[in-house]
Amino acid sequence: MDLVNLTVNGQKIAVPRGTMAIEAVKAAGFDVAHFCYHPKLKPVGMCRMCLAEVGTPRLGPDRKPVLNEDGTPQIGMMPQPQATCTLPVSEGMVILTNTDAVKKMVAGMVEFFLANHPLDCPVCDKGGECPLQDQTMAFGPGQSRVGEVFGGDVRLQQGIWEAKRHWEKPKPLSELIALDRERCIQCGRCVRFTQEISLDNALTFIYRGAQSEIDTLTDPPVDSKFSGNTIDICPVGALTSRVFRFTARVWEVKPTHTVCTQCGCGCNITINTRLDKVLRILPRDNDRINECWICDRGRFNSQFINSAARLTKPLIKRNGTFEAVEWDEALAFVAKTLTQIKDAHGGNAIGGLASGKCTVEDNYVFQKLLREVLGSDNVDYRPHGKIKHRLRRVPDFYEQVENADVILLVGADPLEELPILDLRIKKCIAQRNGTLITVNPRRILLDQHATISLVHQPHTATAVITALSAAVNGSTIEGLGATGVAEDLLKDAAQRLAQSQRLVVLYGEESNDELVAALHHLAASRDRQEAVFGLCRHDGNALGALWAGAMPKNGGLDVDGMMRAAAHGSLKALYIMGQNPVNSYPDGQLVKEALDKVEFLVVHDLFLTETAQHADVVLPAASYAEKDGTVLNVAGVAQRLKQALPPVGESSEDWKIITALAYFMGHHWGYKSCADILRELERHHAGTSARWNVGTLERWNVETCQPADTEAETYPFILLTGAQLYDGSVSLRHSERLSHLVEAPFVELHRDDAQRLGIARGAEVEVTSPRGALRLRAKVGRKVLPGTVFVPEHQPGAPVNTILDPTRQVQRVRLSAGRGDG
Amino acid sequence: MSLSDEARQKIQEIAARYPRRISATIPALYVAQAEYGGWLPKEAMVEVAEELDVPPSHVFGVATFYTLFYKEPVGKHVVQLCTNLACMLCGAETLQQHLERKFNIKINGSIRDGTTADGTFTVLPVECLAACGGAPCMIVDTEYYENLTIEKVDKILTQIATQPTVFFKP
Ligand code: SF4
Ligand code: SF4
Ligand code: FES
Ligand code: FES
Repeated sequence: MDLVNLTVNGQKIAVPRGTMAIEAVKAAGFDVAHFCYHPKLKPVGMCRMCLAEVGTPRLGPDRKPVLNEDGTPQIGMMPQPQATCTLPVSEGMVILTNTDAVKKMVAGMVEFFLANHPLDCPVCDKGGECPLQDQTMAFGPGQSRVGEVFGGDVRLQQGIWEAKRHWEKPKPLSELIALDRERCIQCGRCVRFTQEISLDNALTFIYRGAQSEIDTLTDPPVDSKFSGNTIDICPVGALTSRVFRFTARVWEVKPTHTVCTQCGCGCNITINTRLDKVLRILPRDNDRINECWICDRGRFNSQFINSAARLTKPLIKRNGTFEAVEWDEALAFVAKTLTQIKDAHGGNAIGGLASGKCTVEDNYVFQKLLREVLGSDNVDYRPHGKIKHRLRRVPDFYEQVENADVILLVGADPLEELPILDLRIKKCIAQRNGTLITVNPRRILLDQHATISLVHQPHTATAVITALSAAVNGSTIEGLGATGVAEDLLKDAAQRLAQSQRLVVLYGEESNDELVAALHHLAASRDRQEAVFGLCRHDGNALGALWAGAMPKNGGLDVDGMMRAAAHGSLKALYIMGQNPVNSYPDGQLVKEALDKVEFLVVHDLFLTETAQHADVVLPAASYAEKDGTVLNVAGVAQRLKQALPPVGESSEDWKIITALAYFMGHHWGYKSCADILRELERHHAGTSARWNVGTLERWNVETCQPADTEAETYPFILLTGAQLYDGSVSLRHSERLSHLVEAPFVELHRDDAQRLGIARGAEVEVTSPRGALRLRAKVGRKVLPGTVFVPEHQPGAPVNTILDPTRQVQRVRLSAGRGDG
Repeated sequence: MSLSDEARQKIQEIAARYPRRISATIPALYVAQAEYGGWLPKEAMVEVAEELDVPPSHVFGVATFYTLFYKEPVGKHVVQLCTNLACMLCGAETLQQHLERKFNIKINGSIRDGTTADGTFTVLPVECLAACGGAPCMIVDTEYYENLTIEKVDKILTQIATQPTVFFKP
């Protein structure tokens, strides 16, 4: 590496060329006062706090350093103090940060900052972890020469020396964030975060000079899935969390270092609790995964953990109503009933749905219960059978994404599915000059930053990729017509793919084998096949559940098979851990039939979900904050969950419940902790490794993905479904603040279609399929293609699975304008 | 209310003149301000953002940064009266007092205080109009008037009162 030698306060140090002086000073072990500088943001030199005296070697006319008599180079000090955050180091530089002059200048800057800063620390949420407070203590002058004169509207030309700025406070900036304009020191970190990192430009400075303030003009306000990060990086108490405000002083909380499981990113987090209540969730730095960010769902979806609606006792349904019972009674009852069913119909009359929401240990013990105790091979962790996960460990997954020169994204919307991956892709684009090529049946928000978006007709992704491969290889492009993708756009994409050195291919979890094979073929044709990654969106630990063996083997039924068998009557008992298939299973009709028909249904969950309501026994489970365990993220990286608070009420970790149940059935496993389970699992896996093999590509015919379309006249629209970060999932319903941000159920359609059908923006539309109808609010735009509509999965109160018919490959619907309201 | 098709068309034309659409923000805001009767409600900023395909927050920041975009309803004609040094020395203060008395307004920078009861004029104090050679001076709508006296001001304003507003010179 190209190193530069310099001296900081007399200490010699070498740092990589291009390093800013502030980092060099820090590396030498000295503190630098700073507000606007943040290592993840571009330096702007706005606050002038990081001042130092700086000198560089004097050069003679021959461009050689001028030497002192003792042979040391002569240093020419710069006439003014320098902002170290915007000053790149150079060879021989001398930086002084602890001279009297520097101390006086920094103290003067602090005094300026405090000229307009209210004396709020005793009532400010940031107090105790506030850089302004800390730096005032460390570098401030102790006393201010600026007096405060009350009264007077600052907007009306009062000099700053006459009055502090006074504003109404706090101003709710969004559902999640409160802004105190008096405390803002205008460092711009929050604004720059939305411009450089989240790229959603949710915040801006408005007005100017002494009247500047932070504001937003998005709808909803601060329309960003990452807004909470601005609270963390705000160096004062100007931005505070409306979930956390005034619930505790920060030095009273207990931090627990754990991992978020709300999606597959695997962000490292710290849960702050006090008196066994979760108060807030903060990101924990891990440059290999989430850097120092997390998404708003991970941060603010915390209130459900201590919600009053949590199940705290086992429930048994008697005469149609649930009765709270003791654990012994519940477990004995479950053990007895399952044994009876096993004896009468054999183990394979029992099925188990594990869950990617639970830990590796939970899933391992779950499948062990099914296989060893109940003698059944019917076990599946997936919400439905179309999902395909492949286990691969890629510790540098996020780095590969960040450093890619071309990212090909197929059939996925990372912002809604894997938000932190979305941030990394944006980093690749904005900071590493990467190229993003998307292939989706509709536009996603990330397309704003994509170089090329290939929006194709539904169910033709494979044809698009095959055509791309052909274009990369220089052979003739075929079958593009049906996809609706323009040839010149495709060729442009192919050219970029062909030239790329560091290609990363990301595809959605519902991609079928043909598509995946086509992607591998495409990547292989330019020899970077190892950079093809499947994403998992549904659950945070999906790969962990797969690793734990919660999948059917030896001819056992998968989730689809179990649903059908249950509806048919051949599956007598269903044991569901942490899933809510009534909402999440694509065939809403089938799942209802199945759950009604099945003789015995056991459900583990935090809440009395739609599924749990059908159950005969409901066992109260612990949330991710209440347990230890292991989880695998989207890149197969294993991380530890740590218990932040004991399970509420009498609820319990899933693995403990199952271990106890096994004991009731005569199997003494003797696990004392997760570590015991993990050790057993690792022994199990010793010497094996699951890998996805690249097959040879067969010619894939576009026609075969176009099913016979006899219904196109009655149901002229193709229905697309997909994920939404703030969906109708049960935990969000019980996290009050965040639940305000869950959108009212909507259908998205193209402008032209809307115009033709006379459907106005926001009007009510009836979406009808052969299976049923939903009344939804119309979102009109250009994100979907004409002829297709998009309805997100699990919308609160309007589950799209009630109108889906998964036996058909293409879902068709018709739209009719309902009552309009705008 | 929302932008007319004509105004949208105009904004598109302006945007086409620049290599990056974001560069058209200021001229596009002038078009919108004219459409909305001389001021910019937030809807107008959002519409401009949509037309230019730029973040609404960016437009918000620009529109609030510049004082010639008005964020509250203004009178039919906006009078910018220079109250900076050269003009003050040449009698701007008398003009200011005269207008305050004549219209029963306050020329203090607040749009509400500076607008006449009948809504014909909004008078705002401004720093140097860069026409110190003709001090004291003012701008009405888009037109400069120099070497003012009380009589001259009265005459100009009486004339303009009945004329249509000129929002910007193309
Ligand atoms: S709100 Fe905080 S982060 Fe944003 S500019 Fe003000 S002080 Fe800086
Ligand atoms: S991105 Fe995913 S893992 Fe990270 S905080 Fe958000 S929900 Fe949690
Ligand atoms: S930290 Fe260097 S100027 Fe703000
Ligand atoms: S001071 Fe009035 S124009 Fe310069």
